[in-house]
Formats: sequence, C-alpha cells, structure tokens
Amino acid sequence: MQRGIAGLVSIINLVLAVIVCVSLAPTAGYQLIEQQTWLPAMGLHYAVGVDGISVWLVVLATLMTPLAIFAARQQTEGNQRAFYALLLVLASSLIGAFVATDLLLFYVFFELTLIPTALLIALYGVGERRAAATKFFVYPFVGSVFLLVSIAGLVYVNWQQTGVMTFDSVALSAAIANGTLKIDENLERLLFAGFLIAFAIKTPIWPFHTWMPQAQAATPDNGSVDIAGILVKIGAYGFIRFAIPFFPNASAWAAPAVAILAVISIIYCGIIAFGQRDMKVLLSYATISHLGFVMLGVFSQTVEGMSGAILTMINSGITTGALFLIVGILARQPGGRIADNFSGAWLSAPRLGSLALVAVFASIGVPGLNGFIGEFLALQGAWISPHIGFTFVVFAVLGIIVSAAYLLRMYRTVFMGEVSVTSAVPEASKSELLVLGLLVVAMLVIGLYPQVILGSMQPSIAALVQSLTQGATQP
Amino acid sequence: MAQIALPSIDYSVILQLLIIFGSATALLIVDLFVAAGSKRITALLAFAVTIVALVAGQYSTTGSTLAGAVSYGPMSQLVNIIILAATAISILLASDALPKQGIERGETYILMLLASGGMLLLSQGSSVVMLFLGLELLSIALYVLTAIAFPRASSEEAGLKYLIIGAFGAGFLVFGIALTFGATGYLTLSDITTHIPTSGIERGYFWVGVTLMLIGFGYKVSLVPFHMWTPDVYQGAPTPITAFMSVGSKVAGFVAIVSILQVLGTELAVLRPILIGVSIATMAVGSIVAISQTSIKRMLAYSSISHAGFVMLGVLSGDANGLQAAIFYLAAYTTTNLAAFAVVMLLEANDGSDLTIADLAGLWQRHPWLSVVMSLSLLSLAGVPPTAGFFAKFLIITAVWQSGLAWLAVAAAVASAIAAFFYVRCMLQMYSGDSQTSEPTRIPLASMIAMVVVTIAIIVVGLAPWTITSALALAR
Repeated sequence: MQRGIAGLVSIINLVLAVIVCVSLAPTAGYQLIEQQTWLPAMGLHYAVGVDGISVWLVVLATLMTPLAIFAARQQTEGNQRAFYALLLVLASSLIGAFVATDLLLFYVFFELTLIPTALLIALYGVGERRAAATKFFVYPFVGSVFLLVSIAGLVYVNWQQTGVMTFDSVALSAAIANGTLKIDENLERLLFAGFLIAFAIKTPIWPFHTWMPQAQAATPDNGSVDIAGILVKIGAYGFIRFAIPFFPNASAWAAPAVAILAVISIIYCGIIAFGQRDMKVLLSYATISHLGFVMLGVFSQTVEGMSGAILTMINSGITTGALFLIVGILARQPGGRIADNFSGAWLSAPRLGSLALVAVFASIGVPGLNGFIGEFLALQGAWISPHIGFTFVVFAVLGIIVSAAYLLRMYRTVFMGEVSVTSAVPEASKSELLVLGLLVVAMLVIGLYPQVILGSMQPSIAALVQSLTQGATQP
Repeated sequence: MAQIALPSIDYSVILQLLIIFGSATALLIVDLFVAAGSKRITALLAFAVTIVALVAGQYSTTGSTLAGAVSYGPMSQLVNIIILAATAISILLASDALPKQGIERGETYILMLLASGGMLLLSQGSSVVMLFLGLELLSIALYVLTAIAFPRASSEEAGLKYLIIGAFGAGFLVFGIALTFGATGYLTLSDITTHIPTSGIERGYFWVGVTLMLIGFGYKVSLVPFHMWTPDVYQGAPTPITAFMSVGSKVAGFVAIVSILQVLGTELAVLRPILIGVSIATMAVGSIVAISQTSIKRMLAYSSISHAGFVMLGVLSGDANGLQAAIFYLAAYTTTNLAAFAVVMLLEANDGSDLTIADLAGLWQRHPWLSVVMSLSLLSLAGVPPTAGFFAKFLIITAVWQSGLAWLAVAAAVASAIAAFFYVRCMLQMYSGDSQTSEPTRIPLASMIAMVVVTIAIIVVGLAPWTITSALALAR
C-alpha cells in the first residue's frame, strides 16, 4: 500500500520531469522560473528554474526514485511508511537543489539531502549503521558550514560594491562576468576555498571520500538507498553552477591542484575497488573513481569538458543504478554481497547475466555505450584546457584500465565459472528484467546518440564558458 | 525640612512588570488555600498571569519612567514576548513533570513568575541599579527553584553551587556598578553614555567598572571562563527548572549585556578584542567538551555554553545587524531548547535520575513523535535547515561578515561543525539500536500543548524567518 502510493507519486514526478525536459527551449539561461520573496530585507527569494544543465539532473533524480522504490520491494523490515516517506523527501530535496537559483535556497536543499539519507541508513541499514550514518551526516555538514560562510561573504562583498543585497545566483554570476563585481584576488581564493571544501567533500573526491564507502556498506542490501542516493553526490553540480562562475580566476588558479586530486581519485579508488570483495563497496569506490573524470571535466572549464562531466554524472547514475539493482538481486542469495560466494551465475540466470554484462561494459567505458562518450569528452576537455593539459589525461586514462580490471573480475567471479549447488542464482523475475532492460536501452541510446542530452545542454554550457572567459579577462 | 521629591511614575510603561509582580505576590496567598493535591490550580493561575502579561505588552506605552530607570521600547517589547512565552511554556511543562516526580509545590510556579519578573526588569531596566535588581530577583528565585526537589541530594547540591557562584557573580556586578558610578556620577545608562570619562584615573575606574559588570552578567549567560557552574546546575536542577533557566536567564542576561555595551557606543572598540576572545573560547569549550558527555542534560548545558558564544558574536559587533541577529538567535534558541528539554522531561524516570544519551536508543520504535520533536530540536541546535537554528546561525555569520570580521565567521563555522557531531550522534541514537525499556511514554495534555507549540515554532521560524525579522526591523 505505502509502496504503491510512493511508486505512483514518483512516477508522476518522472512524467512531469520529462514534460519539463521536452518543453524546454534550447537556449541558454533559466526557464520556467518561479519566484516568491522569502526574506525581502536580506534579498532572499524562493526562486527556482531549470536550464539545459539542471533539467537532466532533475530527470535523473526523478528516474532514480521509482527505481529505488522498485528495488525496495523486498524491504519488509521496519516501518514502511517512514521508509518511503524518507525516500520521497530525499528525492524532493535533490530536485530542490538542482532547480534552486537562489543561493541560500540551494544551500537549504543541499543540506536537506543529508537528513533523510542519514535516517535511512540509521533506521534500515545493516552492520555499523549508526557510525556510518553519523559520518555520512557530519562529514559533508562540516564542509557545508564553510560554504555558508563563503556565501555570506560573497553576498556581503557584492552588497558592498553594488549596493544590492541579493542571493540570486544568476545576478551574482552576471555581475562577476561583466565586471561590476570585482573581488580582491586573495579574498576570491578564500571564498572559493569555502565552496571547494563543501563540494569536494560532497562530490566526493580523494582524500575527502571516506564517508561514502562506509555509508554504502551500511545501506540495506537491496540497494534501494544507494540508488536513491546516487545524486546525493551533487558536489560536481555545485562546482559547475556556483563555484566556477562565481570565482573564475580562483578556480582557474586552483584547477591544476584539483586535477591532481581528481587523478589520484581515479587511480587510487580504482585500485582500492580492485581489492574489495563486498560488491557494494566495490561499486562505491568505482563511483568515486568515475567522479574523478567528472572533476577533470568540470575544472577544464571548456565546453567539451563540462558537457562530458555532466554526461558522466548522468551515466554514472544510470549505470551504477543498474549495477546496484543487480547486486541487490544477487544479495537475496545466501552469498550476500560478497562476490567470492558466487560462481557460474550465468548458467542459472543467463538473462540477468547478459544485462549485467552490458552494465559492466557501460561502466568501464566501452565505445558504443554511454560511459565512453562522457569520459571521452571529459578527457578531451581536460586535454585542450589551458588549466590542466595532457599530462593529467595520460594518468587518468590508466584509471579506465583499472576500472576494466576490477569490474570484469567481479563479473567473472560472479557469473562465470562452474555453478555449484550452493552458489546457484535463480533467474531474475520478469519485472526486474524489464527494468534492467529499460536501463540498458537508455545506456545504448545515450551511447549511440549522445546528442539527445548534449544538444539541449550545449547552449547553457557555451554561455557559461563564455562568461568564464569574460570574467577571467576582466582587469 | 525639604520635601522628598518622588519621580512621577507612568504605570503603562511598567504594565507587564506590575502584572507579574503583583499577581505573584497575590498568588503566594492564594496558594495557601489550594489543597496539596491540586497545585495544578496554582500552575494554571500562574500560566494565565503570563498570558495576561503577554497580551498587556500590546497595551504598554513606549517611553521611560521612574526618572529614566525603567523604559519600554520595541526591543524590550520583543524580548519580553520571548521571556513571557518561555515562562508560560515552562510552567506548562513543569505542571506535568513535577507531580510525576513527586516534587510539586505551589511555590514553584510563583517563583517562576518572580524569576520571569526579574528577567523583564533586565530587559526594561535602563539604569544600572535596575539591572542589578533584575539580576538579583531572577537569581534568588532560581537558586530556590534549583534546590526545590527536596530531599533529592543532587538538587540541593546544585542549588548551593548556584547560590555561591551566583553570589560571586553578583559581587562583581555590584562592584562594577560602584566603580562606574564613581567614575561618571550617574546611574542611568543614557547619562553614563554622555559622561564617559576621557582621561585620568576616572577613565581607568570606568573601564574596570564596565568590565566587572560584564563579568557579572557573563556568569549568568555562562560565558567562558565563567561557565563552570552550568553543567552541574543544569544536571542537578529539576528538568523543567533547567529548561526555564537555560532559556530565560540567558535571554535576559544577554539583553543586559547589550544594554551595557550600548552605553559604550564607539568606545566598544576598546573591549572588542577581549569580547572576541571570550566568544571564541565560549564556542570552543562548549562544543568540544559536549562531545564527551553521556548525560543529556550535561550535553545540553555545554551546548548552551557554545550557543552563548554564538550570541556573543552578534552582540560584540555593536551594530544593528549584529544585535538583530543576536535577538533572533536567542528566540530560535529559546524555542529549540524548550523542545529538547520537554522531551527529556517526558522520558525521565520518576525519581529524576539522569537521562543518558544511551537511554534514547530505540526511541523511534517506542515513540515516533517524541523522536521527531527531539530530532528537530537537535537539528535546530546544530543549525541544519529547515529549522530556526539554521537561520539564526546564518544571520549571525552574515552579521559577523558585515562587521568586517570575516575570520571570526570562519571560527564560528569551525565551532558549529564540531558541535554538529554530538547533536547528530545523539539524534541518530534514537533511530538505531534497541530500546532499553518497553515502558510506554504517556504524554500528558499540558506537555503536549507546550511541545506542539515549540515544535511548530521551530519549523515556522525556520521556513518563514520574517515572522521574527519583521519585528526586529521595527526594533531597530
């Protein structure tokens, strides 16, 4: 009953998001804006809108919610009402964060994502769930406190120079791009540091990533919370939308340093993923590794790189979502989440095996599937970027090899080899195969015709990069 | 023989004070005729008095009277609302919790009224003598209230501790008043402002005097290093009393500090480095020591110390923005802390033994609504949106930026990040782990009403901060 209502609501949400996506004109700038005054004395507004960048993340967030509810159909322990309510709160706070154009409103939603996720882990998790939930909450919260200080500072500097008290991100980035707001170099770097800490923890990027694998080890086995929480890692979006447009000089200055961290993320977390036996923790490290590519693309500050970064975020959502669903199906067996407990699953579950293979290939970045095009664009952007350059790309490419190694090994262990009585996996149900099939179709469509997504994203990103070069060249 | 010239009195300025003190005195007599088993009648009468006083605030006239010793303005109007509302909520909570623990006495409610009268006097007082009078009225009532759980030893001990330390603080205050009077020759704040000595030994006396007065109130609001009594007294006092004093005396004490700092005007810059140091130390000690606490009341005591540091940040800037932020912070803190203590009160055992954080385990299964209220108040204390505490923190950080002390905003951020840890750990305790007891918690009606009011206030102030900021803009 509760599941039915939650599922219905989430599907209505998805339909609405698709309608928004289709009705969006292919131009730069926010559309479908809604604005209400919130705290007029301080220039706060409840202001929301979408553009070519955020609309896809909204679609992804609304796609993940029914998927998570689907994955949770085995969830029978605990209070069902609270479980689905929290999933829906998480979804709405994510959507809120993607559509908020007012800086403080974004911050509110950004923080709000922590509460339902931490409660889901604490209430329905396994193992060291309380420690994991606490770390999940506190670690990103620590970062975001500095974000709050930086937001207050940016707004104050703007007020000092232009006499307007506003939290409107569009107005602020426009003021920086056209030079009406000039921030002192050192102050700009300090303000940027606040954004950087918050978003680097949230992305997450090495060495700020430790909250994530611990949290995902403690989430319910069926993967529902992981799927719903895929987009909790909205740090990269924060960089594209706020940190880089607000502080073009500081972010160009910091780009090499961030790129080094990104490359370390890619390789280091890839190697750690190779050592994991718990499939969910492996996927968690794999995600961090993928997010390294996202960060490279974001900080390249080129049209190619940023498009690739957003595409990689979307791909990571679809592909990792599918993989979490598969692990959830496997985890119903006595073997649990440990890859070594399985063998020869292909023989007993060939359909599941073939769908899993496509998802694994997509995650590795095999051409023709979605992962390839995103990572390629991100790396291309990093190569041609004046801030990063090809040296980083050479090392980042090594990460793709590592990801092939750990994902294929996991696949081989679980699906190949001899099937034994204890390790037999029954075929997935029809509905599971259908959902996985749809996700695989999405992977193929994006892989073969990425223009679906890139096309509508292009004007917004081009305008963003344009304003960056303007802002950076302002004397 | 010369006639004694009495100043004219405008009773409508001191309307709220008259109502509170007059009814408290009358209730002392009425209470004699209330049977021991039905002291709830006294509680309800005391509650009614606070409500009447709340309403009377609308009909008071602004201005000053008693030769400038007491005044009433938009700012004291707002502060009085906070104080009286907190008193009303505390009386409601106490009327359920005290009989449950078998320590109910009619005097409790009357003493609470008297203490709130002292708080009102601190908020309205515009002469140093009135500030002293207000502080003493407030303190003496609270000493008795702390020890009222006779014959519980912890309560007696806490009462004695509070008395000794409080007397010590009052000594500072009196000596400070004497020196200030000696240096300037005036007692009303507005006269002192215009007669700050510019040189000579008088200037020295003046600064020592002002510093001693600030120390006197520093004890009351538990600024580091005058905070030592806080955890012991909070822990030992009956919980409804702890709730009452944690919000009431903090609000009133800070208003008095604001009054004193406003006397200084631009000269505030002299003291600012010290005030900054005090507020950083207060935030740091409060947040760090709270981590190692196992008792909830002690944790909330250290949390209240840490919050005092935050309020100080708004106060020390000395400008209108900072002041507004500080008052907003106090309002948010009041509603949040009352909610937290309300839950503690309901979960406490009947012998009043200390509730530990571990006792919260599994509260979600036992009583989902109580755990929702507690979570909201902990999140609000931590400053997580969408609660009142978030906006309060945000306004303080903005105000600190605007006063040109950006690095101080970073210090506040660090303190708030540290504090988040123990709030969140305490919150998640309720959602994981198994319940220690299977005893159902029944929520009596009065507590229910009080809790619903403060919980709604946390959310409303968090989502619609203009409810308070517009009143603050008037008070500007």
